[in-house]
Amino acid sequence: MYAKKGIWPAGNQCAAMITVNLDAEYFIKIFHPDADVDDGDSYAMGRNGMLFGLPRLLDVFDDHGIKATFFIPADVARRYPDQVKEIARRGHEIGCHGDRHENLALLTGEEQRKVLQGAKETLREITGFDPVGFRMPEGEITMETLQIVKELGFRYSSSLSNSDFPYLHKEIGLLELPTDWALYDLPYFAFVFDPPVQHRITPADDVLVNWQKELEGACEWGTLYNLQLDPQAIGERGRIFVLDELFKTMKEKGDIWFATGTEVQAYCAESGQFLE
Amino acid sequence: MGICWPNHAKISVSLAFDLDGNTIWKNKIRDLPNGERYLKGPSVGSFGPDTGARRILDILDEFNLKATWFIPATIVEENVELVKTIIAAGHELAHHGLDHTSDYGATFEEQKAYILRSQDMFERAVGVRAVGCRNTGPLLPETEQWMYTEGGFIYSSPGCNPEYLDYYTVGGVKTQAVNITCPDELDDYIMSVYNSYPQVLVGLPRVACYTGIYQKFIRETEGALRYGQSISASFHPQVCSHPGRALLLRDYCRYLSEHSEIWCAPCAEVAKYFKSVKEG
Repeated sequence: MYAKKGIWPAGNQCAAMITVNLDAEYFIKIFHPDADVDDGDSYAMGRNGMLFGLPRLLDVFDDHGIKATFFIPADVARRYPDQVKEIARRGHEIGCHGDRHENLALLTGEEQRKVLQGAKETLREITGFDPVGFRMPEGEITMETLQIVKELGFRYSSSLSNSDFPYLHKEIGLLELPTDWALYDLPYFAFVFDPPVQHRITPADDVLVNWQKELEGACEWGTLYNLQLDPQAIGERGRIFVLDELFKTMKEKGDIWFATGTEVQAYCAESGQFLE
Repeated sequence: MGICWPNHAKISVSLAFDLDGNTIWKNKIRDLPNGERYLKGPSVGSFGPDTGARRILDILDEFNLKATWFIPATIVEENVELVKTIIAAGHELAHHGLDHTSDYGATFEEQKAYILRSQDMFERAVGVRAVGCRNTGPLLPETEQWMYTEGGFIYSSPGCNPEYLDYYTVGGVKTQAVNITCPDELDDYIMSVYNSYPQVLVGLPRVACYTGIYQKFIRETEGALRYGQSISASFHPQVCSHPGRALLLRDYCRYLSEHSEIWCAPCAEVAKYFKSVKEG
């Protein structure tokens, strides 16, 4: 055997970390970094996601007994404090996703520290908890970013993609919980006329095929199945079934460990797994 | 040009992996503000050598298949233990540029020096020289004439080569090397790679459905069987070894290994066999 297989609590085959990137109208910055988030179609879509998609998503999580990890830009928490408080009230973890979905690699170290410190304080004010997880706003980061993240007291990052196992950024002592674009709903579903994100929308059944196959593979190789969701994408009424089907498969398999980012981080810290 | 391959197979299929690592990502971000310090894009590419390559080695072992690994010379230098493991497992190492940039030089002398530099880097790092080429940029006709006649390369297999299996020609002149076609339908990178900044692919087309990706592999292989044409894949470990897509690769390996009309062999073995049949 050349490849390693991950070891998870209680003999589970893989870990499923269900996450939500609660970008609301800031999602357009993934596709058009200079877009005005308060204008046009993307604003309407983001708002619809918060008003209609998010309640559906929270109900599906409750239906399946899943605690998710929400990565939230601080300005989304300022714009939608009641929704963010409700997320926290229902027992989900809340992590930091920048303030206004900045491309952090384009900021100076001082600017990054100010943004992330402020974002952390805002999330604490609104939820009552210090966020311990960080996911980079889609864009870019540098090692300086992760150094600042560590210094600000975050316990893990969930940003990079060079592995599908947790690993330690040894030079700064920060845990990474890696992500994979294929396990993110926006690249399949996001559609905007202006500014244009205009490829044909992927059929939701095709997305389910991909996510089921990745789940099968995650069990085979014992990886971290790090699903990324946005309510405006997967929370749409004709797509939400994907999560029902996926979670049903996971529960029926019975050997998948559902965990929040903090729970994965605690497991690694306590067991020493993935830290070599 | 029909060849009776080993075990009376009708065609050869070469499993080939372009282990680009972070080279293509570094090339894309080099000119962006602060680009040399970016982590995210390069991390997508590094999945190949950091995590996926060993998963692929296990899958190939499972079906006792040998493959060709096209690897930029800088990635070989940065991953010596991995590349030695690949070679020790019986796979072929082949040329794929120095760092996946497209500029091989403006003159024959420059391009020859570039190729030889890559060969020297291979030899120093892992003790082998490439006999096959999947170049990452355009080559001058005189460079190709040299490579494929006296330069030690016995086959050419970049993505844009013509569909035939025969001696490779340069400007209508036959070389001593074999042309091994590398079709887009066996290139997983263009089907499912994704990154938002910089945009990869440009315009951010959707990640394809895995069912369709696998169907492409099979349809292309069936087409090769229909027309008796040998082919090489262009699989990218940074894409094809994520868990779900690794299962597709495993299914394709099983399909190849169980198909009596297919001889699955590295490109170098295909070229050597072709030449042995033609040249005795």
